[in-house]
Amino acid sequence: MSGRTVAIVGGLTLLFMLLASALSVYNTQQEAITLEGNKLYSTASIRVTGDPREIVRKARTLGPETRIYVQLPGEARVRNLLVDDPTGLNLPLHEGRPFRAGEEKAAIVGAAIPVVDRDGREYFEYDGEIYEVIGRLGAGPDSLLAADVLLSDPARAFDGSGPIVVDRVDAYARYVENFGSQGVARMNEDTNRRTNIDFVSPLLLGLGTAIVTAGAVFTGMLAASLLQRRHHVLHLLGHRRLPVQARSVGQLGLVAVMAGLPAFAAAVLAGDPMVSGASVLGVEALVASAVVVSFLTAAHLRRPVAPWS
Amino acid sequence: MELVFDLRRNWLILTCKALAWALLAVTVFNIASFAQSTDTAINRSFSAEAETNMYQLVDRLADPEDFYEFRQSRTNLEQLGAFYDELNEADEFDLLSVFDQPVPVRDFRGNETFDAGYGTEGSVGGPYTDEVGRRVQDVKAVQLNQKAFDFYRLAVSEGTPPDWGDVDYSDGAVPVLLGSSYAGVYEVGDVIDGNFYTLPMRMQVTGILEEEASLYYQGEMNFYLDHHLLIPYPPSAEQFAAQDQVFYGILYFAMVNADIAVPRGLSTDQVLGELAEASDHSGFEHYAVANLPDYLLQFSLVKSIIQDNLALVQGIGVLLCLGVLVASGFANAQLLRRRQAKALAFWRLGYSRGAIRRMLLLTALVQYAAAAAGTAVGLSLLPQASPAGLWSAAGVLVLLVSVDAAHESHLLRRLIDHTSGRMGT
Repeated sequence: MSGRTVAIVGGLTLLFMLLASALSVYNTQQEAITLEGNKLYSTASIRVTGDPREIVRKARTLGPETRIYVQLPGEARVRNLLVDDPTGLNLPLHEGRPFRAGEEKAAIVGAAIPVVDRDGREYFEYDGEIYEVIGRLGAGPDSLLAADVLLSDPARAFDGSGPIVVDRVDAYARYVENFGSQGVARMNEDTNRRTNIDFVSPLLLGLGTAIVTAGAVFTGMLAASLLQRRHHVLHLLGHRRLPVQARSVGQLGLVAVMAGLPAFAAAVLAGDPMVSGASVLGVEALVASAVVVSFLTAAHLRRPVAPWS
Repeated sequence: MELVFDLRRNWLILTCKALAWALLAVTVFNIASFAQSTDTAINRSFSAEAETNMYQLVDRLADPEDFYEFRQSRTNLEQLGAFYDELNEADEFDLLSVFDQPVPVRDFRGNETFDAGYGTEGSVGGPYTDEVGRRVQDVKAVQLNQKAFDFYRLAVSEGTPPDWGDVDYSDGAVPVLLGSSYAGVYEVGDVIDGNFYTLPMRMQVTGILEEEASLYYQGEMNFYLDHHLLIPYPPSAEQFAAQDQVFYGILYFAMVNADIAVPRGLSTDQVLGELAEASDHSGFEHYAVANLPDYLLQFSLVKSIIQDNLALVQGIGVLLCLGVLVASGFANAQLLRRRQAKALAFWRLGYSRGAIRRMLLLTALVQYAAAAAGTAVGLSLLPQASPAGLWSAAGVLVLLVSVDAAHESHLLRRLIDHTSGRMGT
């Protein structure tokens, strides 16, 4: 690859990786704002009244990503969060980390919640038991969640008082379809209702993704056209096409790795609990593979340069 | 003819550019429509006038026996009414009287989402037969005074707000408003046969509230009224007939348990002074007042959530704009590289710079038109109408076109300058 080709392809790849990372960060932040404005519930959440044991047992069958919020007795806003797979949940945090799958006896608390310091670790005490504080709720210390506590304690799954909130995509339809509509209510106290953000945001993500995808595909095709003559000359010189292309793909991959570094470094250096280097790497890998796939497709589809033209 | 050659040779780059531009213009339209919607939400519920200190006024007759005793005396109730009237007429602050007593409605037409128990700790009660043998259902309702209606900027999307001065329960009829979800269930002009604190009431629907109408109630900023029936309080708590003493006894207590919105310049002592004065004048003294710092806290935090969303959306919009601009720049460089031989051939044939530029800009025009057409198609697929959004989308296209035309001309000029310099002409 000539320096010029590397500059063009690398520059474009860098640009679209930055945009893709920005979109992924946007998505996380937007979800966190939505949760913060609605007591941590998504807009699809439902409230179910009835026997807590029965409801929790039913809701657990709706899939590992189903979040079940059980309000625990007492004056404080202490909720027990039951979820088997918490990876899709972008809790608004300003410190620490979210719950891990299967984590027990852990707490995420708001800034106004008193905690006990023991051996450099913070603990929250509830009903005679202590929970290690692993994160701080809310986008900042001043937040609608400053007085909220979230526990992860399967042992208290059935201790709920009052309605239980079941939250997942299509929660209402899924729950009613399986268990009937008795005691099930849609919730509607979310701040997002005040504006059309719930309509605009997914559209924005879709359009942004379309721009990035079109850009990545274009970059791959451009790389194919820039390398076309070189491939052909090498072929005429007796090299087999596949190894030549494989070599170019390797070089493209190297360029993509270099182009991916800035966004990844920025994500790691930001130190924001909401921005993870891993998720940035994930979207960068997607962009890189779009570039490579479109490069290979274009390289194969292109008519070879007519000899002597 | 050159146009056709150029389009055939460079269609891929041109299509990608036009597509990215159209996508960006549609994105900008969306962002502008969201900015507008944010603006509306802020003006409606988070205006500077609503940024007040909030106090809570309650009666101190918590014991049911005291409460019952008190209401047996007409004098007591008249004092209570006079106390309410003086506070309601005060100019220094707004007495926001709101209460959510459900109302049994006869032969109710709506579904369970309007039921008083829906979504609460209780459960949906559904229709039942009342003491006099009628099929009724308890539905969500909110009673409020005009000060509260105005303070929370409630407005109707259909019909008219009630004529507050004419609200009078004594003839058994009252104008009511319905939350936006009632559209299609009841219509303006319908009469709902209800029962309000034991008093049969013909409820004449005068209007339907705007969507997502909300107010601050019992510590909740996001108390939406879409599924509620709104009953206006009478303008004053003065007169009542002897046989309705039970009804008015309960009503006046509901009215006096209110929030007080106090401009931030007024101190707590001044508020307490006003209340003491009203108490002296009226003779009612079983009240207590508490500060509600939670209101201002929620006010600013909910407002900032809305604004954070806007900042986030605008931020990603700016990034996408920059990205598309930079990508277009790359595309232009690549385009010119592919046209280099042709442009220089024309130059050596004696074509002027202007003529060559026009030739190349002609293809660019086709691409601009394609981007505009793509944008039009994209916008026609969107449901929301937003004049500001249309202007913004047009604005971003004009920006892209001018930057792009300037950039292409610049690249071409540089190429020709470079070549002519090298050729020594």
